[in-house]
Amino acid sequence: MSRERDEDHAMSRERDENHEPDGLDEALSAWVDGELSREAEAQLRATLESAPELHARAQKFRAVDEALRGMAAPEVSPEFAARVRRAIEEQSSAAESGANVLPMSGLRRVAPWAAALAAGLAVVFVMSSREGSVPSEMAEVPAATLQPETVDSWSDLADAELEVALELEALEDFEVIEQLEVLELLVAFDDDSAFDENTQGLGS
Amino acid sequence: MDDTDPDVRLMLALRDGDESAFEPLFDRWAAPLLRYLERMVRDTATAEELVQETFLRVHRARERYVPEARFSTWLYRIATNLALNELRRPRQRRPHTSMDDDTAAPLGLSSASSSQDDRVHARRVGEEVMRELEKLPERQRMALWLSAVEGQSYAEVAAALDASEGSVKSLVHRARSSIVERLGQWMDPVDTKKSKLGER
Repeated sequence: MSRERDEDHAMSRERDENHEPDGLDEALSAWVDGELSREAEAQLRATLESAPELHARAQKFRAVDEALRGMAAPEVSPEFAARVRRAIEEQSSAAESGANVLPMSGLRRVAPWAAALAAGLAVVFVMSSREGSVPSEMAEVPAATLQPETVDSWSDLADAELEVALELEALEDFEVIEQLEVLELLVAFDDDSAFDENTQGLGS
Repeated sequence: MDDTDPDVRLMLALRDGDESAFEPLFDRWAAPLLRYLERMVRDTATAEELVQETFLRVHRARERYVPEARFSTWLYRIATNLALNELRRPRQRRPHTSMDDDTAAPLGLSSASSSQDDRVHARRVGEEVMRELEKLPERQRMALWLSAVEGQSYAEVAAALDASEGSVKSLVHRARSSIVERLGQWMDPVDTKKSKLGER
């Protein structure tokens, strides 16, 4: 199910970004953003001289930006700031003491029951696989894919949770289990590695 | 490395063990980040969680921080990834509890002075634009916000969205264009606008 969702998302992203551009209008938008090259800007200015309606269009584009900028920015409440500071301190002291901190604050709240449920699911899976009811490719996941060192992103998990999560990674395609939201949450542990990959070259 | 960016210098100090460097980074970026995430996930409580998570990740990554772009580019990349993950997560959404929902006061055009009219009009346009923004596909919404409100270059937006600059140019244009088309007369200059406001 999550794979279908990802595919849908990828298709919608492709549609969203690979459309046939309306050259002049797109150039006008880029001009408003100061993103045209010198030559392209000169070309556009020449076109604008004989097309007053384009000036009006550019003015509307600017009006959209101004309207967005004009909306009041929320202030960060002292309570929220204190909460973040506390979370940072907890994370730091947990790291110093060698304890583990779960990645998402929301996940932290559900982790105990999620881990318990996941453990149950893992047991069901293992028993099912022994009875031969699991697709053979699932039962033959190479041991190397389950080694902790191959999933650095989960290094924040407690050992017991890590074991369950690793077991569940192999179950990701197992249709019945996949529909459970808890699996979605556990798969979300992988976010950290996605971040490491996605933010490489930017600052980490 | 962008060593002219004061935030990069703070981040380097944090990396080198100066925990006090975190505070000014948070003070400077928490509000714009909250504003951005609130508009993206359309829920204040969720946006706050994501802001917290963004800063937790920044703090967690401090020891291996190597500046290769502006600090804000990295920060928004993290926040954008979190927002996209949140938006893809199937769950029942809470109603939108935007911090400025209570600013949508009824209009009182008949007795308003000209400058008051302008202000009222500007606010109504702002609210309408914001509503239309929230209807846009997520990546168009993010691209337009980062470019128009946060003042990021297409290259920076591209880094935040993991897209090409060409895609960002297209996303921003389509977002703006959709809003202008949908709002139609609302985008007309203010002097021709007053009677139309009354009609709505």
